[in-house]
Amino acid sequence: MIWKVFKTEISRWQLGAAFAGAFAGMVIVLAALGFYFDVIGVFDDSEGFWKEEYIIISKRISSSETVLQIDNQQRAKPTFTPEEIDELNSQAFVSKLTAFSNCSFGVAAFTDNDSPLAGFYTDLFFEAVPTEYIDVNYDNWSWNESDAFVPVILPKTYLNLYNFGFATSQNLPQVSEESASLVKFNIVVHGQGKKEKLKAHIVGFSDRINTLLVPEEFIRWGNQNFGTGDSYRPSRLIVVAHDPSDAEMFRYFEEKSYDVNKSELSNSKALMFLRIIISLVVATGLLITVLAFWLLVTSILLLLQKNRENIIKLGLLGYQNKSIAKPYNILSAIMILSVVVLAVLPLMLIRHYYVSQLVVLGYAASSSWALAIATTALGFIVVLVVLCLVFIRMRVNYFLK
Amino acid sequence: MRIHFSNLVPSPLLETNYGDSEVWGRDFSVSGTQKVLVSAASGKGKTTLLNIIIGRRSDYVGRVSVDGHSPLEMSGFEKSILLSRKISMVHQGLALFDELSLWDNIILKNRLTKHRSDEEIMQMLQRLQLTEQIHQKVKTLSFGQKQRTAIVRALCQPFEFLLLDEPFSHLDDHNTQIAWDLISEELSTHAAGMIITSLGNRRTMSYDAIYNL
Repeated sequence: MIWKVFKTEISRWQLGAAFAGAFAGMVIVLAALGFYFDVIGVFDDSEGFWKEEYIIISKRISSSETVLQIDNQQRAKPTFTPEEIDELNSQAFVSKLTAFSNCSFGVAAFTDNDSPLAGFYTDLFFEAVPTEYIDVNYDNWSWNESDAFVPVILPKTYLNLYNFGFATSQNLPQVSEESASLVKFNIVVHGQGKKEKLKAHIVGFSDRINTLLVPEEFIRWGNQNFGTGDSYRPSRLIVVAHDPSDAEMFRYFEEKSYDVNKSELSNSKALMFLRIIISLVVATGLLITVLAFWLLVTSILLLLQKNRENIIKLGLLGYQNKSIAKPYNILSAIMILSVVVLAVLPLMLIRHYYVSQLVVLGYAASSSWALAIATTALGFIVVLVVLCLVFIRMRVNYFLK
Repeated sequence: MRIHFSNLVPSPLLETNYGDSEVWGRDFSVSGTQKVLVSAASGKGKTTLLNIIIGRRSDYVGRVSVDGHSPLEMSGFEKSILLSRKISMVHQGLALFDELSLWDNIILKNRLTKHRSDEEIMQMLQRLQLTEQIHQKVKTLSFGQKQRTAIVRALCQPFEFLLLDEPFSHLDDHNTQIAWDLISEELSTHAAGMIITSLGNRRTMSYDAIYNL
């Protein structure tokens, strides 16, 4: 009955506009959140290009150095001294610094006679870096003596070289990353007058680290049992910079004659731009959403204001504040509920669009999207309805005091 | 019910000369089944008096009590009980809902109090000659018809006191008499008292006390 009184002052257009605004806002918020849930996997992916850029530095080999080394086989190779490493670590542009561990023992690889690559034998070297720098999604990157095989990561360029150079010219089958991991071979480690044969599997290909990688534990074991006790001084370092485009940093490297893997760094600038753009988009989206909901709340308060006289008259008749507020509470609840529920349809359309794009890029959509969105939507409903109830009650009380 | 003023003076009147008033600044009380006329020229505070009793005005000095409680200290719930079960008022401005029909205006009150049956309401409307207009929007009625509507509405609740603010100002003598009879009957049925404000004294009515503001 009270609703009959209020209906006389309702503007359908006003409510409609508020509804449309809130609807748009809700779609934007849920779509953005949903996109974040779907895409967060990309951020966590070790192989993803989001991961921090590393800069791999080594000492520059000059021609005179080459001559000197040929002349004297015992001449120490240019490596990084502990002092040089400490000095680099103390530079302001360095966020993290680590060295490649290398083998002080001998390694060779060979294939079994019944392998597709029978008769293959070569001397080899391995290096290792801490697991956090491994840009391959392999779960078990570690090794101990009881393991069945040693996992090995090769540079991606080797695979490309094989597939697009060797295989095509020799009419051999090209190999995909996945099937390359089926390649098994044997290695023999030797030194200190001992030898041991082990199995090795290729488990992945690195885009960034140009060496034959094995777990640090294996190198340590090899150095202790077959080598001179520990690694030689590192000939290569990984630097993680606060800002991979820092000019200061490159000047320092130039000064010290350190070589840098420049070609791999072009991504970082694009990355920075991308981060800035995404932040702007998210901020704008949030602003639009806040405004849309503010519009909704304001419309409801306007309705209340238009009915101020009626509210006062109802109070004079003896109606309680809560009875007078009730029709507004119900109206708000219905509007908010329908806004959120109706927003699901365009939301699914939007998701369908970008999920197909993600799949093309090689990423799978998140499986917990539905749950995450449902929870968020529910949370929104609760928060907004409570807010409206509070505002409405406050305004009615104010009119009737 | 006992309504009591103790040295009450509304703030707007503080600067004026209210020494002759029989209400302002005095000890004034009405109780039980007393029928009281408060008479005054315009601007002396007739409406203010009634609004102070129901707690609608707070700008005064002195004390008011309704059954021992100050109307300003009532909670929202107590206030709604006061206005729907204890005191019924016909406002000078009538406080009707213009966009609703005559019938809906009355039902709006009766739904809350469940005091009358539809037949009883129709009987009252018949006595006051309003039955032909029941489905008309109130804004289309004459002021006199609106006043009669407000009176019927005020009688759709239980009350211990009836407050009437110039209720017959736009009624002819005939309708005034009918309305007065109706009100008198209700007052005896409810064993209630009444305060009525007016610009002057109508000859046909009897009061227990007359006060000049």
